[in-house]
Amino acid sequence: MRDIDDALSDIAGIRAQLASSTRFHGFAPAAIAGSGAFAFLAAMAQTLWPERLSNDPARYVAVWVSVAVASAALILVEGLARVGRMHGAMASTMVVGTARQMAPFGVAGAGITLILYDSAPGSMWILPGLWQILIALIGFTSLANLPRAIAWPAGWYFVCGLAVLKLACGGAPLSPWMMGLPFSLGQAAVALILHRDTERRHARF
Amino acid sequence: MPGSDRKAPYAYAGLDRVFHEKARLGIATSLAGHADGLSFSDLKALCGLTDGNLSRHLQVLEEADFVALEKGYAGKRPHTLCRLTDLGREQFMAYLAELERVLRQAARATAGRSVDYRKTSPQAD
Repeated sequence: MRDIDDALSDIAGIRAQLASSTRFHGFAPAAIAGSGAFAFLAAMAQTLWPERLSNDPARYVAVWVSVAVASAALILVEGLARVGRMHGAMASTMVVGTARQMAPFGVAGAGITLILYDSAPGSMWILPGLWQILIALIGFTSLANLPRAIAWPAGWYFVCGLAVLKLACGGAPLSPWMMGLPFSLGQAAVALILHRDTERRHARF
Repeated sequence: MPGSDRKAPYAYAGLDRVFHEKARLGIATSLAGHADGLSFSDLKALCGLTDGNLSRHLQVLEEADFVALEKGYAGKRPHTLCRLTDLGREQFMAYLAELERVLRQAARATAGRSVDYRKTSPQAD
C-alpha cells in the first residue's frame, strides 16, 4: 500500500510540474489589446469630462474599477472559450493553475481598493501606483507559463507604478494618464508579445 | 469512453504505448518540467541512455508529434534541443491520469483483499 501511495504522490508531482511549465494559451491577444483600448478610452473620457469623471478621487477610482471589471470580463470570456480549444485534456488544470497564480494579487488589489474607498478616501491617491505594481507582479510570477518577453511589459508596469506612486506622494493630483498611459501601452505590448508567440508556434507546426 | 470503461474497467486504453515504455517515460518526465526543452546531452545524462538509444526513442516520440527536435549549433558544435510539444504535454497528462487510475484500482483491490483475508482468517476474530 505504501508503494502505491508513493507512486500516486510521484504522479501528482509530475502532473504539477507538467502544468507549471506548460505555456498558457488562454490569453487572447485581441482581448488583451481590447483591455488596453478600454484604458485609453477611459483616460480620454476623464480628460474630456474631468468634473464628472476624474476631479473627485472616488469617481476617478470608480471609473478605473469599471475598466478593470470590463477588461477582466473580456479576457475571461474569450479565455474560457479559447482554453478548451488550445489545451484539450489539460484545460481544467491550466485554468485552475492560472487562477491560483493570479487570484492572490486580484484579491489583494480589490480588498485594498474597497477598504480605501470605504474607510480612507483621503488615501486613494496610492491606488493607481499600487494597481500597476500588482499587475507587474502578476506578470513576473507568470513568466514560467507565458512567453519570456512578458518580463518587459511587467517591468514597464513596475517602473510606471513606482513613478506614479512617487508623483502622487509628492502631492500631484490624480491624472487620467497616470493610469491611461501605463495600461494602454502595457496591454498593447502584452498583446503584441502573445500575438508573435502564436505566430511563431503556428510557423513551427 | 465511459461506456468501454464500464465494459472493461481494466483495459486501460489510455495508457498510450508511445509513453508506456521505460526509456520514453523517463524522457517525457524529464521534459515535463522544462518548458524550453533540454539539450540532447542533458537528456542523455538524465535518462542514463546511450546516444543511439536516446535517438531511437526520440524518433518514436517525434513521429507521434509528442516531442519536437530543434537542430542548430551552439558555437561550432551541433546542438539538438528536445521539448515536449503542446500535443505531447496534453497526451502525457492524459497518460498520467490513466496511470493514476490504475494505481487507485490496485490500491482498492489490495485493500479489499486484506479485508477479505481478515474476514476468513480464524485469528482475525
